[in-house]
Amino acid sequence: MNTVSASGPAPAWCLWKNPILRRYFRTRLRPRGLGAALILTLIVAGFIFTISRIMGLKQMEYANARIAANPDSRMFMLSMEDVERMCLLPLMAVQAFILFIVGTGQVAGGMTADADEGTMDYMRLSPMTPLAKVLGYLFGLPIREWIMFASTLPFTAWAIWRGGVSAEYWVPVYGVILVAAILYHLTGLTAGTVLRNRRWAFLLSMGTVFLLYTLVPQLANLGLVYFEYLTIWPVLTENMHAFMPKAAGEAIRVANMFLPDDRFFNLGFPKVVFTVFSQLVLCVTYILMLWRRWRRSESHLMGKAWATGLFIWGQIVLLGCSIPLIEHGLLFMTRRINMRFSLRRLSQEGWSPDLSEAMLMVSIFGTVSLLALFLLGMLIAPSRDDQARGARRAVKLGRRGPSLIADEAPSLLFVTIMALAGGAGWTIFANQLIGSHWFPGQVLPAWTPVAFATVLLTAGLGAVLVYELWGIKGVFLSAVFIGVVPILVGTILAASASQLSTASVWITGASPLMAPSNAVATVLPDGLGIHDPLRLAAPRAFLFWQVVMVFAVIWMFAKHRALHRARYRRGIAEGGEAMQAA
Amino acid sequence: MTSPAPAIDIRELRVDYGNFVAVNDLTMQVPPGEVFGLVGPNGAGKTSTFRVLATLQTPTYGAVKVGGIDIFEAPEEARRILGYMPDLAPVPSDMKAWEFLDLSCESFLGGTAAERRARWEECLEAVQLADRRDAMCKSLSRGQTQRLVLARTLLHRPRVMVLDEPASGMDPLSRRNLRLTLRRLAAEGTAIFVSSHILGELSELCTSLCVMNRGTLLSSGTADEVRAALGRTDRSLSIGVLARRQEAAEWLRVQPHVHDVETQGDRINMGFKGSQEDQATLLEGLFANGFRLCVCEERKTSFEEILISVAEDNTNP
Repeated sequence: MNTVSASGPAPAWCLWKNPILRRYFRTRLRPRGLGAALILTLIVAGFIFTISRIMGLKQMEYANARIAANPDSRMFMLSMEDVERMCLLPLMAVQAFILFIVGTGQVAGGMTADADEGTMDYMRLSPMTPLAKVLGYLFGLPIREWIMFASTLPFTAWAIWRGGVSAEYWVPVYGVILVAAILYHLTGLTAGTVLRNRRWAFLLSMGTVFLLYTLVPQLANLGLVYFEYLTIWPVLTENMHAFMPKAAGEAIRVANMFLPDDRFFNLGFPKVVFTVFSQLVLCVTYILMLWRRWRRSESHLMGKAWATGLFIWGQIVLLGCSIPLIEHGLLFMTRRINMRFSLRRLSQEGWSPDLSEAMLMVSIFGTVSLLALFLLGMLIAPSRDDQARGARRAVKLGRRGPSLIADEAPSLLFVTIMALAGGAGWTIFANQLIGSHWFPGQVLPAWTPVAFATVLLTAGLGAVLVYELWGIKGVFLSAVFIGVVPILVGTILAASASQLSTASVWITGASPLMAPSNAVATVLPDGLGIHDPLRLAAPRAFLFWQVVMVFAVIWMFAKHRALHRARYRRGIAEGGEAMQAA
Repeated sequence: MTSPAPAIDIRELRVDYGNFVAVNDLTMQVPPGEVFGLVGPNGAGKTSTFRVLATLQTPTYGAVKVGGIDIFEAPEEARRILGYMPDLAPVPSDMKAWEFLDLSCESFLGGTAAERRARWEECLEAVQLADRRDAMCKSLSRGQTQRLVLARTLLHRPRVMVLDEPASGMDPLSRRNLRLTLRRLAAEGTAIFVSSHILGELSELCTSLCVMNRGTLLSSGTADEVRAALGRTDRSLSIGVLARRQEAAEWLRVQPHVHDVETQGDRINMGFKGSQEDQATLLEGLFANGFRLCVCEERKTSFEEILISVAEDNTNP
């Protein structure tokens, strides 16, 4: 009889011995599939490399001939190094497509395929640690895409070597590309773990990647600079000049000098360090989410303590990246656009921001905080089934309820902490911005923190209470009929007749999504710059709807408590019956 | 002398899905070397119990130990000694049979490639699938897939095996081999917890049985103990009388414990609820009244009938 040395599965850090990784080495690197993928990649990369060189050589010949004929010509002299560099950025685009798009889709689809076929249970049954399973899937599923990426590297390496690109430029750029690829793959892995349908997982992962790493970073132009660090852009723009012909690169480098030099609380971290750090924080968050799911398939994606910490960390980095830019006005989009296109100096006189732009930025800060609160609140809120299970378990164990951080425990305390932290962060941002030298004479009222915290508290608690009381259907119906419909109706009214704009403000004010902007309009009525009736309507509508929300939250809270007590009593009764039966 | 610690020890296990109680305070033990059959109609809570045992699902509450290891406190440790074969055993579509086994071997045991190969080849031989080692898993027939997954379950020599419908889709020869394999493993001390809808086979295979319904354990023990506990002492008697058949039927209809008397050809069939003593008295009465018996056959209630009766209880609460 055969005896295998029962050494057990390799530890998580022993990646080369990871069975899941080795599985995908076999299945995703079969000669036929890999061969086709490599041929396609090499054709595209080879074409880009060759055509860039040919065009570069022709351009060099033409430019140098023109300059030789006319030394006063405004053309730039091109060298062989410039020619070699020309293929670098197009090649990088291909590499990013392979890793970010194809790789992420493959990770999400592959994960769902395993769940769909039912074979994921075999991996659940294996005694490997949850971390080893996460790492195995993370690096195993997109293994073909990593090989495809690697197959383009000889072209890049040639261009970097012959183009004389210093390591101080390409190391940070490629370092960030690799970290970003892992971050995007983790996004796909999480989507694939949550969803059962392969097509939906692919679409969700693509949508999340597009949202998180393309759309959300645009908020950097509206004061939330931090989101840019979730992409490769800050590091790429900083080093892009080295990947271009020298003359063109110099122009980019000079233009970059006029762009904001974002620094986290003026602490002077290099951009690459802060970018990698920001992305790694998100990577660790995703790994923890997946770890929880592998450890226990019914677990919430995020624990209550981690979600609260992540929310507070989010507030800190948003503030840390934005506040240093206020002083020189670089936080304002109008200033950035102005500088980007006209290359005017920072000391340019005669420019000052409009208060409405600052109000928009403060509103967006509040809205983003509210959306983050909704998202994290939903991740940590227990469903009705979870709560019932928790109550039964607590009764069985003779406790009054599940532990505070258990998945089955109500999320209200943690949502309250997050809402208060969000209110504080939002107030600090508003104070720093409105109280800056750009807006002399503008002071936020002393009750601003109360107003901001109330917005987040009522909306955040309202959302999780609806979920904990009525489940996902309740959340869906509330989101549609309280969150979206008032905004749509209000917009139709406002668009149909100017006399209806006051009514429109009252109706849209019913939506919690409008509460942040109405709160800002309430604390800063001067900034509205609009006619009087509307100026009065916004604060009144805000106060009215907040009072309504407060009462609604109190009513739901009372109902929640009553339900909790009833569950506990039912659990005791069931226990009593079981005892009698025994 | 103390009895050995149970290989499976389930205490007050409860599994809820919303307001539906799938498993309700289930307590049971399976000793080592036992082939323990779990019987019950659909929705009885068998699969939920199996999934909790296999560490795939967390119950509402309860304690489960496998080989003395608490599966909730040390799931990875428990998985090392557990072999679980799910119902409708799935296989990955992108792997060959040997790759599938090698993956499991590596994730359970580690070891060198040669050691692993020797082990999975041994298991493939055990399920008569060695000639299909290079086939893609998706190209295997239903029965071959079942055998492949059984081979996977055997790879790490589990001390406790949990098999959900292991014989479904298998041909008679494979079923016989499965039976022999399980008996051999049980003889080596492996505890086997098995559910099957092929009840005749289950009663042949298992040393003990338990019947579940609506999440509750109705009875457990040997086949006869379960019959007795569930009150299914009913049996059918079929007697052959050489002459005066109609007269004998009339006489039987008025006897105690006898019901549903029917004449069919040269036989008289009837239901009988009495004890063995009552049965002997009945036969003596027939002789005493001058009826000449040439044959008397007794048929006990089958497990299938017990299960049907339990399922009917569900529909007629």
